[in-house]
Amino acid sequence: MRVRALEIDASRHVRHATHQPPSVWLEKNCYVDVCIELLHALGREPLAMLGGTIAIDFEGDQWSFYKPSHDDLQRLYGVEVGEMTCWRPLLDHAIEQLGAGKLIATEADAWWLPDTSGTDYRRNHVKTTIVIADVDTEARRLGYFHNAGYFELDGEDFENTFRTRDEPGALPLYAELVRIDRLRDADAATLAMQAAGMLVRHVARMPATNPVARFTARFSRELPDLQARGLEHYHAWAFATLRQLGSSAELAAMHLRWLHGHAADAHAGMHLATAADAFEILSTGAQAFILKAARAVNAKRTPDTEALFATWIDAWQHAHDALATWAASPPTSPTTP
Amino acid sequence: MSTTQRIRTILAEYGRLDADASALDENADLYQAGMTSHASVNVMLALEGAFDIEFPDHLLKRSVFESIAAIRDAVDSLAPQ
Repeated sequence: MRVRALEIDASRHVRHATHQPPSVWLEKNCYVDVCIELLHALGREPLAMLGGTIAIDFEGDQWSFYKPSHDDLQRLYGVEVGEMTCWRPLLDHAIEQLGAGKLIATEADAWWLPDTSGTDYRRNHVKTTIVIADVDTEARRLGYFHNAGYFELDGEDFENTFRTRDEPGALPLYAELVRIDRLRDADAATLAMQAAGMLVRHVARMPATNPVARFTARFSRELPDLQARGLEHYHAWAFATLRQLGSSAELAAMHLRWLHGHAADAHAGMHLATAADAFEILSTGAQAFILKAARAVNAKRTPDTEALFATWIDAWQHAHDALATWAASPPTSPTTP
Repeated sequence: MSTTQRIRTILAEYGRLDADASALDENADLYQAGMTSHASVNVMLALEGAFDIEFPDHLLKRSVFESIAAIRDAVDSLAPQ
């Protein structure tokens, strides 16, 4: 039996622009990546849902693992996401729900995901999120969104992704139902107006104190510990910190430039462009710093970061101030249905 | 061993490519060939160690590590004359 919520050919799926050069972060985080590719496959503009990226915070040992809010997804696209009760085997749920035209976003172990051959496939047990779109129970084949693309797996990977063998005592995976039966098809101008209204809310959620200042101060204190723990620990640290900061800043800049392109008010658009410029400094800076900090950890040297960090701290403040000014004169008719 | 050959050896060990690093076209996109950002960190450190160089800040970007030819250009620009 084959059940599929979408008809996609994995070999022909063209990634969204956020996942192609000249983007500097070709993968952001697993959840936002699958949201982008799913909406792209549905013919919707993912850039509209990325306003929340401006509001991520430094949480002490990590930056926010950012996701588009369910509310934003529903208002912008009519996509409804909610937790699924996993009371029977995941494969049974998939057959039922995909057959009804719904998708399932579920936790998965990257050990069994062949698209991660460069990192975790058959090397590391790492929790990630996939979106199940196409299941063939006879061929034991799964079509799924993961990270920046759409892929297929089969055989042993199929059995283990769906945990078809008994695993007494194993916790069920967390999963969400993704309903696309009430998709909206707003024109770009309407979508931008809705997104602008949401951005006003996200501006109000921006951290009250400069999170980049807090992060850079922590890095300077923590560098000796990072050096003592070595490169493998550094990679995990960099994913939780620099990758979230840099990739969210890139998406924020893309979102703001997209909004700017649809701004009816040129003066208001100027503030969006100013903030986008500032977020790009953080995005490209964080990517270079992933390499620079790796060298510092590997060679146990202390890099000169004073000027670099001052630039980042200023960039976040400029972005914040420009967006606060923009939000003080919100766009006309920022209402959402 | 030529610079290009040494780069291929480093990519084979640290790049985690889906393709054979020894046979890859020198202009092929290494990220398309499976190199992740995680792997590119290890490649950069290995290049610095092997060639006794340090990539300056303006070369710490994705495009410098996107192909064998791009890496060789960067290494040649930094290696002692």
